[in-house]
Amino acid sequence: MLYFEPNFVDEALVLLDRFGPDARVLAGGTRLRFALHPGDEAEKIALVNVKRISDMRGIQRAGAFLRVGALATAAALTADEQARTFAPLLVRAAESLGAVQLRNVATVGGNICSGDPASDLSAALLAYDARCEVASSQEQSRIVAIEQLLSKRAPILASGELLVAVEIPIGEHRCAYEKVMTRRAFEMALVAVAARCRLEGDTLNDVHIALAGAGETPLRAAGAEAWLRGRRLDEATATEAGRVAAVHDAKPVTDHRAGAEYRRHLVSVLTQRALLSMSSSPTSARSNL
Amino acid sequence: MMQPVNLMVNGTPYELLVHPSRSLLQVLRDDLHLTGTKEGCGTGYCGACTVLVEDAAVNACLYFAVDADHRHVRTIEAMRAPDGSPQALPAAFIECSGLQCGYCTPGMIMSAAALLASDPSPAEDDVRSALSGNICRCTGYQSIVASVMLAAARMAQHERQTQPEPSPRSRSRA
Amino acid sequence: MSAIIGTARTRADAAAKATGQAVYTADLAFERAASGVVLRSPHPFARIRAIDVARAQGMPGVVAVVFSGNTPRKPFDFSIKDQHLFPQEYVRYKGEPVAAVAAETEAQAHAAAAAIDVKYEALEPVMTIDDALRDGAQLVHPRWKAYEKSATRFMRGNVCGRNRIRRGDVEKAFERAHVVIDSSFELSHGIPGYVEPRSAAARKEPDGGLTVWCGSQSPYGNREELAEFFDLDVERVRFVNQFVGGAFGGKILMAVEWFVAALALNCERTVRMIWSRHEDGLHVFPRHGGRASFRTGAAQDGTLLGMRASFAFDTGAYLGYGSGTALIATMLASAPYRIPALDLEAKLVYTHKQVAGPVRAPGGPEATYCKELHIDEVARALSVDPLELRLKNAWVDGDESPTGQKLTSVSARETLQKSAAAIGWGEKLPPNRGRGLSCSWWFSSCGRSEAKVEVRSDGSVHVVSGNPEIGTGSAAGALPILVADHLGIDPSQVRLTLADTATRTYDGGVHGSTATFSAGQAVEAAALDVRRQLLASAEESLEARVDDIELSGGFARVRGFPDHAVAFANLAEAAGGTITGEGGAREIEDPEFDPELVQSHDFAAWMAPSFTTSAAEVDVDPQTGCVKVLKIVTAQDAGFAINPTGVVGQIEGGAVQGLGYGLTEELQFDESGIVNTGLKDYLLPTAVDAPAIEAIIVESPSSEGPHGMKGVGEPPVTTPAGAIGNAIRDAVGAVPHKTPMTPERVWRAINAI
Ligand SMILES: Cc1cc2nc3c(=O)[nH]c(=O)nc-3n(C[C@H](O)[C@H](O)[C@H](O)COP(=O)(O)OP(=O)(O)OC[C@H]3O[C@@H](n4cnc5c(N)ncnc54)[C@H](O)[C@@H]3O)c2cc1C
Ligand code: FES
Ligand code: FES
Repeated sequence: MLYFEPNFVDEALVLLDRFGPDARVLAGGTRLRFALHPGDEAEKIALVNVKRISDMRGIQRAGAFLRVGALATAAALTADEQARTFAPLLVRAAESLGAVQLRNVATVGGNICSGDPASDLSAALLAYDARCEVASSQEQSRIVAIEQLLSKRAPILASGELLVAVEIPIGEHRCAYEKVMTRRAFEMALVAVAARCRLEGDTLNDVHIALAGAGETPLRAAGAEAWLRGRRLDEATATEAGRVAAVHDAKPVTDHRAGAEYRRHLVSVLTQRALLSMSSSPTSARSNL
Repeated sequence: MMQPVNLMVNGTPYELLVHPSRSLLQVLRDDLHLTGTKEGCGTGYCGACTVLVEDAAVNACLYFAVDADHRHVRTIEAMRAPDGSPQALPAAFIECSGLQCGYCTPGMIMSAAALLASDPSPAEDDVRSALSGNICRCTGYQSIVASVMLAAARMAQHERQTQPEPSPRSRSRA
Repeated sequence: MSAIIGTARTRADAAAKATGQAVYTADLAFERAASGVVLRSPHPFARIRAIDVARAQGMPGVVAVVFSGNTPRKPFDFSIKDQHLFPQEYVRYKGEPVAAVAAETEAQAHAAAAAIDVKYEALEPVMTIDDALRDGAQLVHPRWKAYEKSATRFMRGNVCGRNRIRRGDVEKAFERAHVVIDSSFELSHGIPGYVEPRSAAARKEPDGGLTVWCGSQSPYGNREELAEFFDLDVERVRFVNQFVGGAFGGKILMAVEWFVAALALNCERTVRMIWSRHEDGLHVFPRHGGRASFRTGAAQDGTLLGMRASFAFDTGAYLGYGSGTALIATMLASAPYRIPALDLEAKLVYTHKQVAGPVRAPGGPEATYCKELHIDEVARALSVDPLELRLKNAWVDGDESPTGQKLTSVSARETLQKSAAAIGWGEKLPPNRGRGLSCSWWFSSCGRSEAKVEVRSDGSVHVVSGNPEIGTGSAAGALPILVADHLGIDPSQVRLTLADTATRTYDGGVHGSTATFSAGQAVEAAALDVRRQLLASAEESLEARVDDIELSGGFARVRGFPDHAVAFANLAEAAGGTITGEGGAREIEDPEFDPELVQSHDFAAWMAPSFTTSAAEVDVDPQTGCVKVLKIVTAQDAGFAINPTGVVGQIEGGAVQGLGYGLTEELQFDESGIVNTGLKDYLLPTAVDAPAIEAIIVESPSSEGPHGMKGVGEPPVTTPAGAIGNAIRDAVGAVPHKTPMTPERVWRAINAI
């Protein structure tokens, strides 16, 4: 096994290019550990530890965006003042990820690139319409909508590509994160709903709803969003939006953790709850009860 | 290809050559013979391997040893006073019977240490959340939560006692 | 009453465990040990066409390869000898060992294991009870007729055991009843869930013996079995038990020990094996899954008249601990209620799953969950308060057990009343909150146990017991207290040597709520023996009469003249260095029962039975089905609590294990075998899931146990799931009849889908 600690994005790209499919980007490593099967320990694997790349670190305001380096950990997000102010939904999602030990290590980039359909951070980023800065040696750096990145199953990135940062548009908004698990903590969502909106009076604007655990990838509830646009936020609206999200947007599957029918039902309940909690408070998050 | 790794573990510096695939847990247990840190699952789902890297609790089983290069690592072996007696946290676990088989205990204590370092007087619910990545099959957690609360209270008391006496002037103003 | 026994105490091993110094098997350092790995079947069911180990044997670093071709082919196991170390013809579950390899490094051992060429012919497995009982079903053991088994063993098709308790005429009782209620249940398999995966090491000794380092619940029993299997002189086999990182019944049957022993006997090296969680999960001995149906008839006033209950347990590929689970389940099915007509049956079914084992209180949570949900259903049908119905029918002194045993020291009502009061039974609750009760009984058991207590020339007091410390505190918590009391010293001054068979202090191990019961008796007898010797020797040196001498603080003193004293150290010196007392647990006869009432039931009499009630309060989210347990109260009859801290610890731990059984834990299987071998998808409760727990110790002394004690380790895990289930129904009017009661299942129950 070869091991590298590039200092710059360019250096990393050269390595990713050179080793192609044998290269593995190492961020927090909490997922990668399991991808390294004993057989892979053979010399041909090239582990590219990106921790030294300062472009991939940090959480700062950049114009109309909050730029979150791909290496930002869940714990860094929850502790960061700017993230709490400008991306409270992402913070709520980060707080519900795993447990303390995992949050201290798991990165935003790793979370996205793992391509897990129930991933907490991906759902929040989807609801933000975040933009992703993806670099590759062919194309120095391109901006891709998170929705596009997450529209396929893992691997999210092609070999040779590196996720450098995500950018979250800054703007007044309310948000809510609702997550249901079998256990009451320390578990991936059976279903989670990440929602944000602007309320003018009680009229909904700029509604974004993302679903985790409701399909083979994290999903936007585009049907429910369209239906909600310009409506008054009340109980009946929220209920109907939940129904639309469950029936039109969710594409749940049955696996050993939950059945598709139940997941669909959760989409409806959690969407409704997320909407209603946004009407009563600017940010909220709830797991299980 | 072995990698040079400089580790500071419980205040002792180590210069090691480590295969890049190895976990910090493997290095601590197998190379440094610090077996107080336990492996319960090797996948991040039990917390028995919890250690502190730069004061943050991490799962040593998931943590790449090469990532610990030039970092400070603290393990259960550091939770004793210079005279060998247990520090406040382990002492509270002993006193409150916060352990039975003891296998989760080192990880539990390290998670609790990280919590108390950032929040010296947590509420019971905070303790439970902070320990939610540490599975204990024996105790039902109640005695563990009590242990952490007791340690917090003791440490706060100690803090108060060792703080410099308020100056005479401020006292007279009071 | 003494000042020491019965007071809360710190356990002897606490400091070592809290500072990371306690040594578990995987922590042992061995010079030049070879690493062992097990090669396991990828199929749940397959015929082994051929195994070729030649290539593996020649691989770099390999020191031994063992498989069916070079190890004893004797079958073993309990009442049916249906299991082999390595299968001879068929593999019967995914993960079944087919060979093992030892090599210089673990990587080399893995490489060699991968080079073993096993030709499998994959066959269609039988993965459920339904499949196994279907007409013309594939037999898991086509040749079972030829197996050695106990004469009474019932076998037909894939059914490999059945037992029954019958009294009175249930049909008549149903005819007379005001209501007849039917309920049926499905039960999941569960893992013991110890946090320390199993590991062991073994080395051949020059005298032809074998030393095994491990963390077993039953080192003496395992030693005998191992010696017999490999044809070794049992006296030359030594088991050196280490601290055990939790066991819960999962470390009674040998597992990793078999393979390190087989490998070590085939090479000149110490062989060690540290199982990963995944491998431990493949070789798990789970709690039995299965199903149950209940029918009960009751009079209008709530008097229970008759009950029929039938269990089918999925025991997996081999019998394992099936018999015990089935026997216990029938003993629990109607208890602790006075029901004149009973027909209680349990059968065991082979499938191509992991071998079910004796997980903490085998049959206990299973039967109690079903029975207690069912009893609430009877109460609801009669519109009788569930507490009242239970109190009305609960046994009292003089009542008979289902098998006709005359019961004494019955505390069922007391545990019901105390737990109900503590949970606030009858007080009004907000919407979607509910309370539930669950009551059961359990046995104590007394196994053979021997102990020594030594006073050495430095005055130190040592206890040598065969009892392993698995975390329960049976040894580290209770034994020092018992000794200290008789020798007038502080328990913290007693040093313990546990579970090393070289000390020749036999002990049956920690299981069946027996540990403190048996080992406690043995240690106490040894302590009394030492005390006698100390007094006799002091009599001489103090020139006083024995009656005037007391032991305190490490001295023998003349009463009233505390300075007229002689130190233990001097007494030991005078006796030639060490004063040794020996003791054993006395045989306790099983209570009588009525053999007419049972069929194939060899566990019909329960010694020193105890009673336990859990009460739970829950908050249910009716839209999602999520359940939050707010509180569990468990009132448990300990007979007498030698170390109350230890009993409380058992109750609290049991409450959360019971919660896991009820709400989150499920071992899953599909057509290709076991699914969740790790802790990612096998959901053990976290500190956030665990509720506030109130432990109430009831002391209704037994006539058999030391100081009147009853076994305490198992009962508290039996009752919580039933209490939680009944609380869920109280909250939202419906409850799943299937464990675990996951949010999805609760939601389905509420919506009847
Ligand atoms: C115990 C446990 C609990 C968990 N609980 C949750 C949970 O509750 N919610 C949840 O959402 N997730 C959960 N996860 C999964 C978690 O999301 C991921 O483990 C984590 O976010 C991945 O981040 P990482 O930095 O550790 O990624 P790594 O393991 O370093 O990488 C993961 C993958 O992404 C690739 N990669 C990483 N960064 C980049 C980059 N910048 N550019 C290109 N490729 C990259 C890696 O090559 C690898 O293939 C859990 C995991 C564990 C082990
Ligand atoms: S061993 Fe690391 S979390 Fe279980
Ligand atoms: S004390 Fe045994 S797992 Fe916690």
